[in-house]
Amino acid sequence: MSPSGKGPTPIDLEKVDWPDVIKRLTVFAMKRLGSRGSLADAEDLAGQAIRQFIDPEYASWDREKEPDLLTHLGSILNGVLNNSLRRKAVEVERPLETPEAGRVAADDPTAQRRIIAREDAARAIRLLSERIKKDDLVESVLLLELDGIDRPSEQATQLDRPIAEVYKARRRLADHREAVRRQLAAESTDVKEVIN
Amino acid sequence: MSKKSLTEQQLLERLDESLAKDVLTDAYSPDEVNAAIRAAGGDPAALGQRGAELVKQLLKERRLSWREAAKQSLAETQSVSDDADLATLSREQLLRAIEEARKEPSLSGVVGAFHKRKPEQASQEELRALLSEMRTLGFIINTKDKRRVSKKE
Repeated sequence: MSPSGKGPTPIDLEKVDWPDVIKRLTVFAMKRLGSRGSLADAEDLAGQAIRQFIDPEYASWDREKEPDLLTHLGSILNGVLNNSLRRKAVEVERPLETPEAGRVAADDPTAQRRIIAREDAARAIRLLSERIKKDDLVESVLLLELDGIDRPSEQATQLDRPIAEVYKARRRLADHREAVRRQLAAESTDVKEVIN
Repeated sequence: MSKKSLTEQQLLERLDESLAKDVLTDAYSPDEVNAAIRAAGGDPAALGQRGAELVKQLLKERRLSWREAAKQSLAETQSVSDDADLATLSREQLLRAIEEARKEPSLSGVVGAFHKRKPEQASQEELRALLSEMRTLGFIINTKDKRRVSKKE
């Protein structure tokens, strides 16, 4: 709070550790992009988020709602990323898994993309669940996440574990998720090579 | 949103976003962040430096844009209040004010181009318009001079 007690203490933007902020934001963008972009794309997204944050033409930072600068920048980056993904409707070329999908896709390419994405997501969750079966804590974290409880502090309370342990479990979950992503990407490349 | 209302795709997207957010907290040490950038083929120090320079530039632009907006608003306010002032001046007062403005060095050589005839021959309305234009011109010249000086600095 500010000395007057009215709202949060003003932040001096000149004194923020910007190299650390931009690095964390870039890694965040890398994780959000996954196989959809490179490190350069991630750095570009981080730059765009910071640009929007500083540009007075955009909405100002409501520190009552979001007191943490990095979390606020992460939200801006998500907005930038979602807008960019909406603009780029990438055509995915690979055969569909179900006959129903094949029938629909023949008539409607947008539906084809939707069905592929849905099939991929369902498969990713299946693979992820299989990979973490033997790690009770990670499995519990995943279940909480899928149930909409995504704050690590809340997860720690629910699981009655120290938050540091929960963060470690989340890290293991993220590693498994990355492995699943790589597996699916490799399979998709293999299929494309067979087609070509 | 409840679990039931989300598709698998939305659930996965939400999971990815939630797990990615951890890097924005102390859960990841600076060394771990650097390692992630190196693993992707980047140079953490150079990336941090580029980011800091971008912010420095953006903050500078923001400061300048604030100053420009303030100057413009000041000019508009000044012009409105000048017009209001002028409406209350008598013919004698207007003539005196024009004479004063003519002595302003920044306006020398420009005043003559306003009207071919002498101020004494103009109507009171024309005198007001002339004085208003002179004041506006004087303000613009002063602002330009200040900008030139601050650029040199």
